[in-house]
Amino acid sequence: MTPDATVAQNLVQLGWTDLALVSLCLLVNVALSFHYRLAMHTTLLMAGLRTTVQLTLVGFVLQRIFAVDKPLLVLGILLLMVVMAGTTISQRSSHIFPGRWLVAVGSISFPAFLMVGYGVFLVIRPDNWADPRYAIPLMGMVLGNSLTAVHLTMDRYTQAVFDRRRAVEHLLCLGATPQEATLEDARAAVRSGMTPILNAMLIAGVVSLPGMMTGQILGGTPPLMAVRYQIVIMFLLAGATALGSALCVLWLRRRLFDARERVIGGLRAR
Amino acid sequence: MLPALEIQNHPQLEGPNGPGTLLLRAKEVAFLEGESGSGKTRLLRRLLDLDADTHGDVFLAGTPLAEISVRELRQRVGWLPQDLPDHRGTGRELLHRIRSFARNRDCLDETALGSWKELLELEPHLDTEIRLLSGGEKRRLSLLTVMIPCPQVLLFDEPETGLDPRRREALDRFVVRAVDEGKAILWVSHREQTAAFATAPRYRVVRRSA
Repeated sequence: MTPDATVAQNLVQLGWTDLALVSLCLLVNVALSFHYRLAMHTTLLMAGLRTTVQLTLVGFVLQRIFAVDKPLLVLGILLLMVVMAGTTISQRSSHIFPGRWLVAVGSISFPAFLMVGYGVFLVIRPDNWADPRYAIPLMGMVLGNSLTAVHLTMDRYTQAVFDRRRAVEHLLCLGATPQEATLEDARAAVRSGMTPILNAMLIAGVVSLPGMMTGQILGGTPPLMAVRYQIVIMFLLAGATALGSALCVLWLRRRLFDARERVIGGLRAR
Repeated sequence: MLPALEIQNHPQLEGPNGPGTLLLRAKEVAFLEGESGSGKTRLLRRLLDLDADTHGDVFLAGTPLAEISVRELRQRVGWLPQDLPDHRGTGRELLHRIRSFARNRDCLDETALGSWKELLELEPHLDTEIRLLSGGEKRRLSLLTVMIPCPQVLLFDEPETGLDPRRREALDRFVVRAVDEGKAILWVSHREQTAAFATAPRYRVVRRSA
């Protein structure tokens, strides 16, 4: 069965002109950026460009992968996705410090593989685990969400240590371990990482129709089945984001302090 | 008896024991003076191992600083920073929090804490958000917190700033009592000292061009 065989016939076909039309939406962002001097226009245009190019490329890649049955290839793609996600966080973090790439990649990859593995092997149980129709899109959704979670967590915690450095040092000198001195910040960081997925879960179906479910319905899946898949996804996302945020904070509070329990010198605002 | 705190070969230090040297024994107060920006605060941070600063050789009761675990160091040396940083919550919450740190349990008991609190007349201010306290109130709260880990050496960074004459007297009583209990106090100041400490040794931190 070719990838477009089942879907294509009941879908409105989108052409390049339609894509050009929708890209005008981005001009709103650029205009706002100019008007309020957010200094984001280059980033915005780059983001728009990357969205288009990356998605198109992945479209080609997925078509090829779906056509062959190679578990190692699927695994390779998953690894690449994870590294890309971590690298994006590391490049966009509000503060820089030595070792942040490893923290980002580590915090995002372990929970993602765990949750995708759980979803594929224990919940969905397809005949062939390496069937790219399951693992790759699942990983994509898990990463999309845990990327935001880990990024928010990392920024919130490093910002707290950076901005409140005097207060943290004061507590360290009053007998606190780095863990004790930043306990409240660690909690706040994990909470902020979990906020987006919690919001999404609270409003799922009422305010928003989640992307995958919408996609499946557009593709002709009966809504009730699409809903079940969406529920599976939501819980996997919740697990991955929570684990990712927690892992990130646990890691950071070792990383940002040295053996003499002082804030590391390499922590700087970007 | 070994000095509670000893500094040798510090490039910016001058005083009664010759250049580069500072000796502070238990039950002693020493003053540290110097223009603003000369590095007084930096020296205190050095004594707490807060920066990767290695100027001078520092000994606590004869042991080199680097050989003392940071856990022990920050229990034995107490620090009163120039300003109390803006901690969240009220003074009472901060006190509770500091007492809950694992290292501080079973150190200063409720009665001892209460008598310091009384000396500093802090009770009426303990339920105010810390960021809303006045400079003098913050300083007195800071003085109270520094006693919780039961330090042997106290580093005071201009504790008299912002205190009215009556509070200034309370600060002197606080210091006299701490010294009676065996603490050694290094007091950074660039003001005239009160009669109570007229005979205390004075050290200077001098600016050195790099």
